[in-house]
Amino acid sequence: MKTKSTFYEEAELLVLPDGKILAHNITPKMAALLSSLDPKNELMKQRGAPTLQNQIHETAKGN
Amino acid sequence: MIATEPEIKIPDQAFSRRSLARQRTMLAHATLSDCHLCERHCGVNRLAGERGVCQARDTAQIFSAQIEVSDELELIPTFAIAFSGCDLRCAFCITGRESWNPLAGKPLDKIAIAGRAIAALHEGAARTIMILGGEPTIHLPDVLQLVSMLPEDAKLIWKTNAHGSAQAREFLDGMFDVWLADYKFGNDTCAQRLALVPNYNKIVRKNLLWANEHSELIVRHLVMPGHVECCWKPVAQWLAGNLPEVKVNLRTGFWPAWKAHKHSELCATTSRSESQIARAIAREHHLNLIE
Repeated sequence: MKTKSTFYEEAELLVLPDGKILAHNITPKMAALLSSLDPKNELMKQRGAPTLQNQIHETAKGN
Repeated sequence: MIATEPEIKIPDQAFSRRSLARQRTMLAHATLSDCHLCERHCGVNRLAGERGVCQARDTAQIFSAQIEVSDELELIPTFAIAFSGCDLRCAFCITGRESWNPLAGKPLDKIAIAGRAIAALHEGAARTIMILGGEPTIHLPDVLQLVSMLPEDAKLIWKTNAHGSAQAREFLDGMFDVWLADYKFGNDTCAQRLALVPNYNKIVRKNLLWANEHSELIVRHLVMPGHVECCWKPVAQWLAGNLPEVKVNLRTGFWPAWKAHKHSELCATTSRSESQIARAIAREHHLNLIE
Protein backbone atom coordinates (compact mmCIF):
# COMPACT_ATOMS: atom_id res chain seq x y z
CA MET A 1 0.00 0.00 0.00
CA LYS A 2 1.47 3.34 -1.03
CA THR A 3 1.20 5.95 1.69
CA LYS A 4 1.07 9.73 1.49
CA SER A 5 4.80 10.11 2.14
CA THR A 6 5.59 7.48 -0.51
CA PHE A 7 6.51 4.72 1.94
CA TYR A 8 5.14 1.29 1.38
CA GLU A 9 3.81 -0.57 4.37
CA GLU A 10 6.21 -3.40 4.88
CA ALA A 11 6.41 -6.54 6.96
CA GLU A 12 8.84 -9.40 6.51
CA LEU A 13 8.28 -13.10 6.95
CA LEU A 14 10.74 -15.96 7.19
CA VAL A 15 9.12 -19.35 6.70
CA LEU A 16 11.28 -22.15 8.08
CA PRO A 17 11.39 -25.71 6.70
CA ASP A 18 9.47 -26.97 9.73
CA GLY A 19 6.61 -24.60 8.96
CA LYS A 20 7.47 -22.14 11.70
CA ILE A 21 7.02 -18.53 10.62
CA LEU A 22 9.12 -15.67 11.94
CA ALA A 23 7.79 -12.19 11.33
CA HIS A 24 9.40 -8.77 11.49
CA ASN A 25 7.84 -5.28 11.44
CA ILE A 26 4.37 -6.73 11.74
CA THR A 27 1.64 -4.41 10.58
CA PRO A 28 -1.87 -4.81 12.00
CA LYS A 29 -3.08 -6.42 8.80
CA MET A 30 -0.20 -8.87 8.78
CA ALA A 31 -0.93 -9.72 12.40
CA ALA A 32 -4.53 -10.42 11.45
CA LEU A 33 -3.37 -12.69 8.65
CA LEU A 34 -0.90 -14.54 10.89
CA SER A 35 -3.55 -14.88 13.55
CA SER A 36 -5.94 -16.46 11.07
CA LEU A 37 -3.22 -18.96 10.07
CA ASP A 38 -2.67 -19.95 13.69
CA PRO A 39 -5.82 -19.17 15.67
CA LYS A 40 -4.45 -20.86 18.80
CA ASN A 41 -1.58 -18.37 19.02
CA GLU A 42 -2.93 -16.12 21.77
CA LEU A 43 -0.10 -13.63 21.46
CA MET A 44 -0.68 -13.06 17.77
CA LYS A 45 -4.40 -12.88 18.40
CA GLN A 46 -3.77 -10.00 20.80
CA ARG A 47 -1.64 -8.23 18.22
CA GLY A 48 -4.09 -8.72 15.37
CA ALA A 49 -7.48 -8.77 16.98
CA PRO A 50 -8.53 -5.13 16.61
CA THR A 51 -7.49 -5.05 12.98
CA LEU A 52 -9.14 -8.37 12.24
CA GLN A 53 -12.41 -6.89 13.42
CA ASN A 54 -11.80 -3.82 11.29
CA GLN A 55 -11.07 -5.94 8.25
CA ILE A 56 -14.24 -7.96 8.70
CA HIS A 57 -16.11 -4.71 9.05
CA GLU A 58 -14.46 -3.28 5.94
CA THR A 59 -15.24 -6.43 3.97
CA ALA A 60 -18.84 -6.28 5.01
CA LYS A 61 -19.02 -2.66 3.94
CA GLY A 62 -17.33 -3.51 0.63
CA ASN A 63 -19.91 -6.14 -0.16
CA MET B 1 44.48 12.99 19.91
CA ILE B 2 41.74 11.75 22.21
CA ALA B 3 38.40 13.37 21.51
CA THR B 4 36.64 14.66 24.59
CA GLU B 5 32.98 15.22 25.12
CA PRO B 6 32.27 18.94 25.37
CA GLU B 7 30.00 20.19 28.13
CA ILE B 8 26.70 21.49 26.83
CA LYS B 9 24.47 23.66 28.98
CA ILE B 10 20.96 22.34 28.48
CA PRO B 11 17.92 24.18 29.88
CA ASP B 12 16.13 22.45 32.75
CA GLN B 13 12.65 21.01 32.57
CA ALA B 14 10.66 24.10 33.57
CA PHE B 15 9.02 24.14 30.16
CA SER B 16 6.79 21.86 28.16
CA ARG B 17 8.28 18.96 26.28
CA ARG B 18 7.58 20.63 22.97
CA SER B 19 9.28 23.88 23.86
CA LEU B 20 12.20 22.09 25.45
CA ALA B 21 12.59 19.95 22.36
CA ARG B 22 12.54 23.07 20.23
CA GLN B 23 15.26 24.72 22.32
CA ARG B 24 17.41 21.62 22.38
CA THR B 25 17.14 21.16 18.60
CA MET B 26 19.39 24.16 18.05
CA LEU B 27 21.90 23.08 20.67
CA ALA B 28 21.99 19.53 19.41
CA HIS B 29 22.48 20.67 15.86
CA ALA B 30 25.46 22.78 16.93
CA THR B 31 27.11 19.73 18.55
CA LEU B 32 27.32 18.06 15.14
CA SER B 33 30.39 20.21 14.50
CA ASP B 34 32.17 17.98 17.04
CA CYS B 35 30.01 14.91 17.22
CA HIS B 36 29.91 13.00 20.51
CA LEU B 37 26.34 11.80 20.41
CA CYS B 38 27.31 8.16 20.79
CA GLU B 39 30.05 6.51 22.79
CA ARG B 40 32.25 6.16 19.71
CA HIS B 41 33.18 9.81 20.37
CA CYS B 42 34.36 10.28 16.80
CA GLY B 43 34.48 14.06 17.25
CA VAL B 44 33.95 14.65 13.54
CA ASN B 45 32.46 17.81 12.10
CA ARG B 46 29.31 16.52 10.48
CA LEU B 47 28.29 20.05 9.53
CA ALA B 48 31.39 20.26 7.35
CA GLY B 49 30.78 16.89 5.71
CA GLU B 50 33.07 14.79 7.90
CA ARG B 51 31.78 11.35 8.83
CA GLY B 52 32.37 9.10 11.77
CA VAL B 53 31.74 5.39 12.19
CA CYS B 54 27.98 5.78 11.61
CA GLN B 55 28.62 7.72 8.37
CA ALA B 56 25.69 9.99 9.22
CA ARG B 57 25.41 13.44 7.66
CA ASP B 58 23.83 16.43 9.36
CA THR B 59 20.31 15.57 8.22
CA ALA B 60 18.40 12.36 8.77
CA GLN B 61 16.82 9.89 6.44
CA ILE B 62 14.10 7.45 7.46
CA PHE B 63 13.35 4.08 5.91
CA SER B 64 9.99 3.28 7.41
CA ALA B 65 7.04 5.04 9.04
CA GLN B 66 4.03 2.86 9.68
CA ILE B 67 1.77 1.40 12.32
CA GLU B 68 3.25 -1.77 13.76
CA VAL B 69 2.20 -4.37 16.29
CA SER B 70 5.39 -6.43 16.72
CA ASP B 71 6.60 -4.61 19.81
CA GLU B 72 5.66 -5.05 23.46
CA LEU B 73 1.93 -5.56 23.95
CA GLU B 74 1.69 -2.57 26.27
CA LEU B 75 3.10 -0.30 23.53
CA ILE B 76 1.19 -1.44 20.47
CA PRO B 77 -0.18 -0.46 18.07
CA THR B 78 2.63 2.02 17.67
CA PHE B 79 3.40 4.48 14.90
CA ALA B 80 7.02 3.50 14.31
CA ILE B 81 9.44 5.90 12.63
CA ALA B 82 12.70 4.21 11.65
CA PHE B 83 15.79 6.37 11.14
CA SER B 84 18.52 5.17 8.78
CA GLY B 85 22.06 4.58 10.05
CA CYS B 86 23.53 3.25 13.27
CA ASP B 87 26.70 3.53 15.32
CA LEU B 88 26.91 -0.23 15.90
CA ARG B 89 27.79 -2.80 13.27
CA CYS B 90 25.80 -5.85 14.33
CA ALA B 91 26.46 -8.58 11.77
CA PHE B 92 23.00 -10.06 12.36
CA CYS B 93 21.07 -6.78 12.06
CA ILE B 94 17.65 -7.53 10.61
CA THR B 95 17.61 -4.10 8.97
CA GLY B 96 21.31 -4.12 8.09
CA ARG B 97 20.90 -2.58 4.66
CA GLU B 98 19.25 0.50 6.16
CA SER B 99 20.98 0.51 9.53
CA TRP B 100 24.46 0.47 8.06
CA ASN B 101 23.60 3.16 5.54
CA PRO B 102 22.38 6.54 6.81
CA LEU B 103 21.46 7.47 3.23
CA ALA B 104 18.96 4.64 2.91
CA GLY B 105 15.31 5.55 2.67
CA LYS B 106 14.06 9.08 2.22
CA PRO B 107 14.77 12.48 3.77
CA LEU B 108 12.82 13.01 6.98
CA ASP B 109 9.86 15.25 6.15
CA LYS B 110 9.08 16.17 9.76
CA ILE B 111 5.82 17.96 9.11
CA ALA B 112 4.42 15.12 7.04
CA ILE B 113 5.59 12.38 9.41
CA ALA B 114 4.39 14.23 12.51
CA GLY B 115 1.05 14.74 10.77
CA ARG B 116 0.71 11.03 10.03
CA ALA B 117 1.71 10.09 13.57
CA ILE B 118 -0.80 12.52 15.09
CA ALA B 119 -3.52 11.28 12.76
CA ALA B 120 -2.79 7.68 13.78
CA LEU B 121 -3.18 8.66 17.43
CA HIS B 122 -6.37 10.63 16.85
CA GLU B 123 -7.95 7.87 14.78
CA GLY B 124 -7.14 5.31 17.46
CA ALA B 125 -4.99 3.35 15.03
CA ALA B 126 -1.96 3.80 17.29
CA ARG B 127 -1.58 4.46 20.99
CA THR B 128 2.12 5.33 21.02
CA ILE B 129 4.74 6.84 18.74
CA MET B 130 8.07 5.04 18.55
CA ILE B 131 11.32 6.54 17.35
CA LEU B 132 13.81 3.86 16.31
CA GLY B 133 16.50 3.03 13.81
CA GLY B 134 18.98 1.98 12.90
CA GLU B 135 19.86 4.04 15.91
CA PRO B 136 18.07 7.36 16.37
CA THR B 137 20.67 8.75 18.80
CA ILE B 138 22.93 9.69 15.88
CA HIS B 139 20.13 11.91 14.54
CA LEU B 140 19.24 13.71 17.75
CA PRO B 141 18.78 17.20 16.26
CA ASP B 142 16.17 15.92 13.82
CA VAL B 143 14.61 13.70 16.48
CA LEU B 144 14.23 16.64 18.84
CA GLN B 145 12.67 18.77 16.15
CA LEU B 146 10.23 15.98 15.39
CA VAL B 147 9.37 15.67 19.10
CA SER B 148 8.68 19.41 19.18
CA MET B 149 5.90 18.81 16.64
CA LEU B 150 4.21 15.99 18.54
CA PRO B 151 1.44 16.47 21.12
CA GLU B 152 2.45 16.93 24.76
CA ASP B 153 0.28 14.02 25.83
CA ALA B 154 1.45 11.59 23.17
CA LYS B 155 3.18 8.56 24.66
CA LEU B 156 6.62 8.58 23.05
CA ILE B 157 8.89 5.54 22.92
CA TRP B 158 12.65 5.77 22.47
CA LYS B 159 13.89 2.52 20.95
CA THR B 160 17.66 2.49 21.31
CA ASN B 161 20.81 0.40 21.32
CA ALA B 162 21.71 2.10 24.64
CA HIS B 163 25.07 3.19 23.28
CA GLY B 164 24.46 6.92 23.55
CA SER B 165 26.81 9.34 25.28
CA ALA B 166 26.18 11.41 28.42
CA GLN B 167 25.63 14.37 26.13
CA ALA B 168 22.92 12.51 24.22
CA ARG B 169 21.23 11.53 27.48
CA GLU B 170 21.10 15.18 28.55
CA PHE B 171 19.34 16.08 25.32
CA LEU B 172 16.94 13.18 25.78
CA ASP B 173 16.05 13.91 29.40
CA GLY B 174 12.28 14.39 29.67
CA MET B 175 11.64 13.80 25.98
CA PHE B 176 10.40 10.21 26.01
CA ASP B 177 7.97 8.34 28.23
CA VAL B 178 9.52 4.93 27.69
CA TRP B 179 13.04 3.84 26.85
CA LEU B 180 12.95 0.54 25.00
CA ALA B 181 16.59 -0.47 25.15
CA ASP B 182 18.49 -3.41 23.73
CA TYR B 183 20.98 -5.28 25.87
CA LYS B 184 22.45 -7.53 23.21
CA PHE B 185 25.76 -8.94 24.48
CA GLY B 186 26.68 -10.21 27.91
CA ASN B 187 30.41 -9.86 27.40
CA ASP B 188 32.65 -7.45 25.52
CA THR B 189 34.34 -10.13 23.43
CA CYS B 190 31.08 -11.09 21.71
CA ALA B 191 30.18 -7.40 21.35
CA GLN B 192 33.48 -6.64 19.65
CA ARG B 193 33.32 -9.69 17.41
CA LEU B 194 29.67 -9.37 16.34
CA ALA B 195 29.06 -5.59 16.49
CA LEU B 196 32.57 -4.14 16.29
CA VAL B 197 32.01 -2.17 19.47
CA PRO B 198 34.44 -1.85 22.41
CA ASN B 199 33.53 -1.48 26.11
CA TYR B 200 29.96 -2.44 25.30
CA ASN B 201 28.76 -3.63 28.69
CA LYS B 202 29.97 -0.66 30.71
CA ILE B 203 28.31 1.76 28.30
CA VAL B 204 25.00 -0.07 28.00
CA ARG B 205 24.74 -0.53 31.75
CA LYS B 206 25.32 3.19 32.31
CA ASN B 207 22.55 4.00 29.85
CA LEU B 208 20.13 1.49 31.34
CA LEU B 209 20.64 2.75 34.88
CA TRP B 210 20.14 6.32 33.72
CA ALA B 211 17.04 5.46 31.69
CA ASN B 212 15.52 3.66 34.66
CA GLU B 213 15.97 6.81 36.76
CA HIS B 214 14.63 9.22 34.15
CA SER B 215 11.78 7.36 32.45
CA GLU B 216 10.07 4.03 32.25
CA LEU B 217 12.49 1.38 30.99
CA ILE B 218 11.93 -1.84 29.10
CA VAL B 219 15.00 -3.95 28.34
CA ARG B 220 15.06 -6.24 25.36
CA HIS B 221 17.37 -9.15 24.76
CA LEU B 222 17.40 -11.11 21.53
CA VAL B 223 18.54 -14.66 22.23
CA MET B 224 21.19 -15.50 19.65
CA PRO B 225 21.96 -19.11 18.77
CA GLY B 226 25.02 -20.27 20.65
CA HIS B 227 25.01 -17.23 22.94
CA VAL B 228 22.77 -18.23 25.80
CA GLU B 229 25.57 -18.92 28.27
CA CYS B 230 27.98 -16.20 27.18
CA CYS B 231 25.47 -13.43 26.49
CA TRP B 232 22.01 -13.99 27.92
CA LYS B 233 23.10 -15.46 31.23
CA PRO B 234 25.37 -12.54 32.23
CA VAL B 235 22.73 -10.06 31.05
CA ALA B 236 20.11 -11.81 33.19
CA GLN B 237 22.45 -11.86 36.17
CA TRP B 238 23.21 -8.17 35.86
CA LEU B 239 19.57 -7.21 35.44
CA ALA B 240 18.60 -9.30 38.47
CA GLY B 241 21.27 -7.62 40.57
CA ASN B 242 20.89 -4.05 39.36
CA LEU B 243 17.44 -3.55 37.86
CA PRO B 244 15.42 -6.32 39.49
CA GLU B 245 12.01 -4.75 38.84
CA VAL B 246 12.63 -3.67 35.27
CA LYS B 247 10.46 -5.08 32.54
CA VAL B 248 12.38 -7.50 30.32
CA ASN B 249 11.33 -8.77 26.93
CA LEU B 250 13.21 -11.93 25.97
CA ARG B 251 12.96 -12.31 22.21
CA THR B 252 13.62 -15.77 20.81
CA GLY B 253 12.83 -15.23 17.14
CA PHE B 254 16.43 -14.77 15.97
CA TRP B 255 16.56 -14.44 12.21
CA PRO B 256 19.91 -15.09 10.46
CA ALA B 257 19.93 -11.83 8.51
CA TRP B 258 22.40 -9.45 6.85
CA LYS B 259 25.99 -10.64 7.50
CA ALA B 260 25.11 -13.32 10.04
CA HIS B 261 26.49 -15.91 7.63
CA LYS B 262 30.00 -14.66 8.48
CA HIS B 263 29.61 -16.17 11.94
CA SER B 264 28.95 -19.90 11.87
CA GLU B 265 26.83 -19.98 15.01
CA LEU B 266 24.53 -17.26 13.65
CA CYS B 267 23.56 -19.16 10.49
CA ALA B 268 20.49 -20.69 12.14
CA THR B 269 17.50 -19.61 14.13
CA THR B 270 17.48 -20.03 17.91
CA SER B 271 16.55 -23.61 18.71
CA ARG B 272 13.55 -24.56 20.80
CA SER B 273 15.84 -25.99 23.49
CA GLU B 274 17.92 -22.80 23.64
CA SER B 275 14.76 -20.75 23.95
CA GLN B 276 13.61 -22.97 26.79
CA ILE B 277 16.96 -22.67 28.57
CA ALA B 278 16.89 -18.89 28.13
CA ARG B 279 13.44 -18.71 29.70
CA ALA B 280 14.54 -20.96 32.54
CA ILE B 281 17.44 -18.58 33.24
CA ALA B 282 14.99 -15.68 33.33
CA ARG B 283 12.77 -17.52 35.80
CA GLU B 284 15.75 -18.53 37.91
CA HIS B 285 16.69 -14.85 38.22
CA HIS B 286 13.08 -13.79 38.88
CA LEU B 287 13.12 -11.37 35.98
CA ASN B 288 10.00 -9.39 35.26
CA LEU B 289 9.31 -10.84 31.83
CA ILE B 290 6.80 -9.20 29.51
CA GLU B 291 5.60 -10.01 26.00
